Amino acid sequence: MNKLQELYEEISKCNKCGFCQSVCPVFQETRIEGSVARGRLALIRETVEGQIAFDHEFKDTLYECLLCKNCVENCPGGVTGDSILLAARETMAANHIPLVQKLVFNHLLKHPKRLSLTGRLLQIYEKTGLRKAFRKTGLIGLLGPLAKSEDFLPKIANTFRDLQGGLAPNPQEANYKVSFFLGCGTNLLKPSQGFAAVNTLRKLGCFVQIPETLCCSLPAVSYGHSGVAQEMAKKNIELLLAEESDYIVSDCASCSSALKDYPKLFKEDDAYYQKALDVACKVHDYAQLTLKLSTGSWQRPKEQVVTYHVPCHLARGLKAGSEPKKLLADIKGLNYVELPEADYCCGAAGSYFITYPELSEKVLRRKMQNIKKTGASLVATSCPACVMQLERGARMINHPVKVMHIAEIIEGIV
Amino acid sequence: MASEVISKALQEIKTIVGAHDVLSKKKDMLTYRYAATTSGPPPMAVIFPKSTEEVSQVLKVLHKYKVPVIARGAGTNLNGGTVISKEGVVLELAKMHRILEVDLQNRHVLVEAGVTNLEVQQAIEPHGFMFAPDPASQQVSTMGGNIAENAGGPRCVKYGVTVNHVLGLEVALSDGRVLILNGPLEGLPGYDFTGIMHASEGTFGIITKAWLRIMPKPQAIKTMMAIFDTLEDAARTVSQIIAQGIIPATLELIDHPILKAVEQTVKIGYPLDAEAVLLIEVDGHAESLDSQALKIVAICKENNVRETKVAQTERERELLWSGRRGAVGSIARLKPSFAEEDITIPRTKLPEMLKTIAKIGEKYSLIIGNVFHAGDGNFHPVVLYDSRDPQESQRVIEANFEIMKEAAKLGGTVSGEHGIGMEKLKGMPLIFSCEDMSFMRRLKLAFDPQDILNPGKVIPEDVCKETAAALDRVGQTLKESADTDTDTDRSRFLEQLKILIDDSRVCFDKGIFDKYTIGGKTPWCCVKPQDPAEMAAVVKLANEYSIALVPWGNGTKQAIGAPPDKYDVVTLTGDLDRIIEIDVGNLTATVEAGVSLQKLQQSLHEQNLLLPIDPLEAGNPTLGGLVAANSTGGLRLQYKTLKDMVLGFEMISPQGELIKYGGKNLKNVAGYDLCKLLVGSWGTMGILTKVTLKLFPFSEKAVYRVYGTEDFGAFKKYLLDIQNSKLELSTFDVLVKDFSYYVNLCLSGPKESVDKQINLLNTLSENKMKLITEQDDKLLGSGRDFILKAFPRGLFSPDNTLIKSCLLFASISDFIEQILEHNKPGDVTIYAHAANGIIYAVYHGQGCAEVIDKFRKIADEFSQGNPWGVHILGTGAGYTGRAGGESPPDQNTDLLTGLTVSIKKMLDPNNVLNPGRTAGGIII
Repeated sequence: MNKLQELYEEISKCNKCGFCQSVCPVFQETRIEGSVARGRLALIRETVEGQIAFDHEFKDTLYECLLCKNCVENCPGGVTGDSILLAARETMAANHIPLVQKLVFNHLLKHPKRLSLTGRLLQIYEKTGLRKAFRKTGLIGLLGPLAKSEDFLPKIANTFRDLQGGLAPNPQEANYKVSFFLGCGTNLLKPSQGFAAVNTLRKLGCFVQIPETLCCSLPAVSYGHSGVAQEMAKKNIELLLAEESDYIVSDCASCSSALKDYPKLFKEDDAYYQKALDVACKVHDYAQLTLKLSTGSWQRPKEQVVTYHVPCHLARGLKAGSEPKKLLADIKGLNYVELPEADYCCGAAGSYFITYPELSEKVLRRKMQNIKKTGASLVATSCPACVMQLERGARMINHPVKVMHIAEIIEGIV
Repeated sequence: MASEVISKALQEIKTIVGAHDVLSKKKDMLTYRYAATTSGPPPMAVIFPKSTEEVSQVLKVLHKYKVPVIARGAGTNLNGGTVISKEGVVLELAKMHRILEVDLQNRHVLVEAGVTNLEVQQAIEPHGFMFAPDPASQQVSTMGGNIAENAGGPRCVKYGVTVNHVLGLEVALSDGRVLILNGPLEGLPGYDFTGIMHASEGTFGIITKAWLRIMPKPQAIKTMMAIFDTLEDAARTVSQIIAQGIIPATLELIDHPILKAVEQTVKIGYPLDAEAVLLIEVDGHAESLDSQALKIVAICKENNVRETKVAQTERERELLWSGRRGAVGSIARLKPSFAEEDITIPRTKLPEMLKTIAKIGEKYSLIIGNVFHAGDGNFHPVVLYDSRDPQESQRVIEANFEIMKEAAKLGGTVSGEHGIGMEKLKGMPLIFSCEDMSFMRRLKLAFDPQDILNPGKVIPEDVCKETAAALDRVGQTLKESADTDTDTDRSRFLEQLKILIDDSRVCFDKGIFDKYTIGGKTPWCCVKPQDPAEMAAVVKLANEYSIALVPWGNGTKQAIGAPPDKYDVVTLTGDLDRIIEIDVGNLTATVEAGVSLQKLQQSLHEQNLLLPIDPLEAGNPTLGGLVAANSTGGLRLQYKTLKDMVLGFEMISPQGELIKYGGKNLKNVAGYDLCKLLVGSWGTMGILTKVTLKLFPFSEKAVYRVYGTEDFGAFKKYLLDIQNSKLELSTFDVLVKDFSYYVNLCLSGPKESVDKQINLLNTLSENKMKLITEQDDKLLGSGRDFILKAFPRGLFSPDNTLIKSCLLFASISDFIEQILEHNKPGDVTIYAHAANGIIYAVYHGQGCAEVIDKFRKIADEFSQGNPWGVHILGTGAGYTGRAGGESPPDQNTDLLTGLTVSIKKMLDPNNVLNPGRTAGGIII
């Protein structure tokens, strides 16, 4: 409870105006006070004040949140609901059986269709350090044989790392030196968008390196394992700083946002704090850098209506939601249409779409209805998880819209 | 409450809404024990109905087990309106959030209670419309809650509060029966249940749907900021802007502590050494805004303004507003807790009140900031403190009470827009007497006899001991009590009357009684009290002996509707004829009930002010009569009705007590809104003695134009063109006489704006309608002249067979066409307030009963299935049938009738005041 007690002042700042209700994608679907920041904070406060035990009943209270930060952005009192929630998750993870059990047992094994993703997810699970965090539970022992069973697993295609030899060469004369941070999602599930990002940056005159980094640590942070997150962050910081590049860029808004948040993982007197700041300063989203490199006269041969979904981590993590829109709007031949509620969460939210499939689907439905309203035949975004979620959404509502990472659009032009 | 009872009730409720939609775990309950700033005990359960039907079924169960219940939307109320006071369950309406209808032509939307104010705005904004009320919480607060608290917002100065923009409601009563109140129609007879539901904080019934009036968005807005070195200069500027007759859309004041806090978070560019900033917004036609802004700047300069800034771009405007909107949030960052007061005072007292608040802050060593709706005198002193410090918390409580006390001393009210809830119960005795509160309490029990709807709110329970006695009376019927009078009672009444008042004020002369005959009934005594005290004594005596009193001003409307059942004494208000005050600075007038409209208008005109009503009756009605009948004419399109203009009153209750409500405050949500009950109650609730009215300054320009044609097709199209044009009309009336069709239009406002609209009107009318008359008339009297020219004895002459129908605008022309098809030319004359959907038909021919039946059949098609939508007002030719004809009344009518009777019974158990007469003159 210590971490929460430290945050008691911050928790008490919530004056219960309820403004978070209007911007919370989860509340908009459940309409229950317990699933909005005001209710969560009230409950956490009750636990700190000893009115109610902080037990397993709190799981949904803590994990039903998408961590989209919309409430934080719209809080008149400036209460940082997301950090309070993460602290609570940390406390929960320390005391109780982690949620991953529920994830695997309730949501994966029961639904054969979802298993098509399991193999990849297991790899992500390994990569992100969650395995280490959950080692004690013995869950891996359970999943291991399953993962190896050829009956169950889909054919695993090549990863980005497998294929990276085929990338375009670095330019002879470079204007910037860039470290490309390869996220797990891109590596394992969407190598093509990583290719698009690296290739376009190289074509635009950047010397791009791809260090052998670990997971950005966001999943570990989200599930309340800051110790694991710290370890991974330290390794990544060393690898990234060693390259002495001008920019650290990722095609994944979540990874970029996690890197930007590295300083939060360390106390100010920690030696890594300053290093984390150095990393954070260099972090750019792919579109941020591309906009700088853009000639402004890009042209696309085919007329097409395009809209843009702003990932939560781009809008509120990096606060760089407007750059990709400008990038698209500037391209001749593309008819850019603003998406209503453009920076509203799509419901992917890491593994949320597996832990809370019904809610995730409802949130996604709202997003898809908005996309439909724009009349766009192409929707761009900047995160592999969002891309996959939107693709799922298009199938779900049977709407013929093509989903692309913004780098894939740029790739077709430069 | 025994837990077995609750679990039994919940079991049944789960079968209605589904187990998934009933929460009762301790953890879940903790999230429903608070609203903004207030908390209470956790509820015993939270129930989520998804339809009106479910609300109704759930209430039936709760009623059966007598479980207290609170309706809740977003839980944003500020005084604990949705917080449990002792025990109970929460009926959470957040899952009822559909917008069911957006009807631009008839200018209304229909929403479920859980739709937020902002969602309403977003649904109509793309079409160029707005819903005027805009509380600061609009992005989350629901319409059910906005109505239950009668929410305000910055735009109120010009446009009024929620109640002024709600047409009708669907309401579930405590026993689960569901009532439709008005629906989308205006001008229906009966008590104003829709009005009285506002600010009733869920204690009368549970609002499930609402029909909201929408209006065209102003074409342009100009926002400016004025910076002052002293608070007093800023306050005086506000008072003078209002006093000069400029009504900005918003007029907000932010003082130094708040400025400082805002600047720390938002960076708007407020100078930190300034004492106050005014945020002023004018809206309307772009051409008219510059001159209004110039006038305001001039007033600021006269009051030593340091600087004025006008927002040049939408971005700049947004920035100025962000400071106002973020004010409370920013200040909340300075200290862990804050308390936001909510008082309203007459606008001339602004400087005084600000000084008083500063003194109170010093006295209790507290930081008090002010950020408030200065334009309507609605203060929000924000007190910063730390709730964990018990001593400081105690000082906050004391300081807040003192602020309420001082406001009351200045003629203010203890809540302007937040509501009483539980937090402000202690302030109620500062402005209401025991009798006032008992009257309100009885009203509540008429709606909710078991007292299970949000108990412990609005009225302090300990002031009213007569709950039980009042409840006993519910069993009696009206007839029983009315018939108890005997000859002995009469003689005792007279005996004591002579002791109470001077002989010269009582008259038994049969000769004069004819003058006071109503529908063939004549009184046997006539009383003319010289002052309210005498009036009170007479009513008290009548109540004791069950003597039926008919209040009488100038008798201009007594011929309307069904005559009284019983008629003993005519009570004349003629000697209550003082104009008590015309407060030019506050734009209010206080007059006695017997003052005539002509006399009041003359006095007002001398001050460049007016009361914007143009009643349809001939003669010179008194204010008492006008208020009792809510008599308004075509000006209702812009100014609405007396319901929206009466700010306060004094009346003699049926028990002979002096009841006071309201005052000179523009916003008031303390207690139940008795103005809404009294205005239009036809003297059945009390005899009005004094009334305070909201006034309006002369418009810079006002023009009346009458257009005519003999071609029905052209007329029909013209009506549509006018309605769709978004002209900002003050009057849109229609007259059909001898197969000629006339339209009377009034445009008023700033000169540039009127001129611009006249151009538009010319284009719309060219080659389609003939301009018959045009008149400049700042006094806004030409509408009434037009009516009286068509009906020299007024619409309510006893010779007329008059039928009033309330329809949607879109039905008006088809309705007229049908009437004309079925009648001979010359037999019928039609008059209508077209945009309001109110239409009167006057029959001159013979065979009245037949005509009415035929008429009713036509009207039934158009009146939205509302039997009170068509009703007979004049029975000149002797027709005495029911308003709804021979068809059996529907369930809704039965419910309305039942509620009407129980309210009358609760408030006038001996059936003393105007027995048998009903609001709007319907026969029930």
